[in-house]
Amino acid sequence: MNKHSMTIGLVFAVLASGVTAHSTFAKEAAASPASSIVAEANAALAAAEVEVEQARLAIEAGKELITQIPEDSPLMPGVAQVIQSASDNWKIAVDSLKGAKESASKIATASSQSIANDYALLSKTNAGVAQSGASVVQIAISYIDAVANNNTESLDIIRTAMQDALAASSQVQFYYERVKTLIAQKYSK
Amino acid sequence: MTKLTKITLSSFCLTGMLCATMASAQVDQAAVAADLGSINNISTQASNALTKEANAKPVDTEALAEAQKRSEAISGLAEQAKSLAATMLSQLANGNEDAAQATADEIKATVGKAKDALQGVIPQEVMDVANSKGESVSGPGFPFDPPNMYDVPWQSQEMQAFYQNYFGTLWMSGVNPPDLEATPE
Repeated sequence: MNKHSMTIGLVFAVLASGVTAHSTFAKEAAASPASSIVAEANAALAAAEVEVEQARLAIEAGKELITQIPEDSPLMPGVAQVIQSASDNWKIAVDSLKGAKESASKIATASSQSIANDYALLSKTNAGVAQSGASVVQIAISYIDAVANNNTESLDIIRTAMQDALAASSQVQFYYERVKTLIAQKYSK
Repeated sequence: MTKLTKITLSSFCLTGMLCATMASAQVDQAAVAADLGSINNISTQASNALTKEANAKPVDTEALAEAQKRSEAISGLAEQAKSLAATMLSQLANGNEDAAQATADEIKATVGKAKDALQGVIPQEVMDVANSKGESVSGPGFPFDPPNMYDVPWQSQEMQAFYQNYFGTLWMSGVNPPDLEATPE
């Protein structure tokens, strides 16, 4: 009887340790996708900060370049539009970077892994908005540079690149809003 | 083992399998939207890189051609991702969760290809996608595709695409609505 009890006890002990090990491995496996999105968010935020800083430097350079363009230049109306576009996208870049950092700051204090992942996704996509806005600003300043230095051969390429970048960055903003809506819907149910 | 224990154990197993199936079938639409945003972000970076090459003093024609090639490859991938997203929504509407998940995975893979293309790694299949682009027209994925910022209930993706394409065609035609008098004279 005692021998049987010991055997049964040993079997249960082995089973229990197996279940614990499996659940540990399962938790680690489940944690991998979660840590992946957080890592992606951190990388996106870092990249956005670099891009926004480059845009800021470009704007500083652009202030000097503007003074080199004659007021009666036939390209002045185009330059004015580009400056307006740069201004709008600079504001988007700065606001979005701030928003991305706010979302990122909430990841560590989130009450569950699921909520942390949602903050990470918001941070990542908002950082994308900042990065694309900053890219548009840099393209705009490049256009002004080309006009100021009479680099007419490049103007067509830069103009097309500017249009493509504006269209693409509007898509980035659209999909950020989509992400926000989908996540909000999750918590309003 | 008693009969009751066997029944209980098998019930737990079945429930676990059902939960696993349900979890794996759920398409994370927010993640897909984020991927689509990522690919467009990569597109702006490619345009920025192209601009820098075009504005270099002196212009390196080979570097400029390479930047142009990368930008075109990424534009092609962005369109492909958009098309896949429409396919995914259609699959979800038809209740085909597994196919929708596979399409979502394809979209994610497309983002990876775009990142590679930005670094200059462009397999022939990616260039084929870029070269298969038709003439630029309006509508989803093309230069004029206004985002639905106000969350208007379009009832369906098809309706949204129809209206955006309609206005996009008008925009691309260069024809502006005529100026009308507020009160006819």
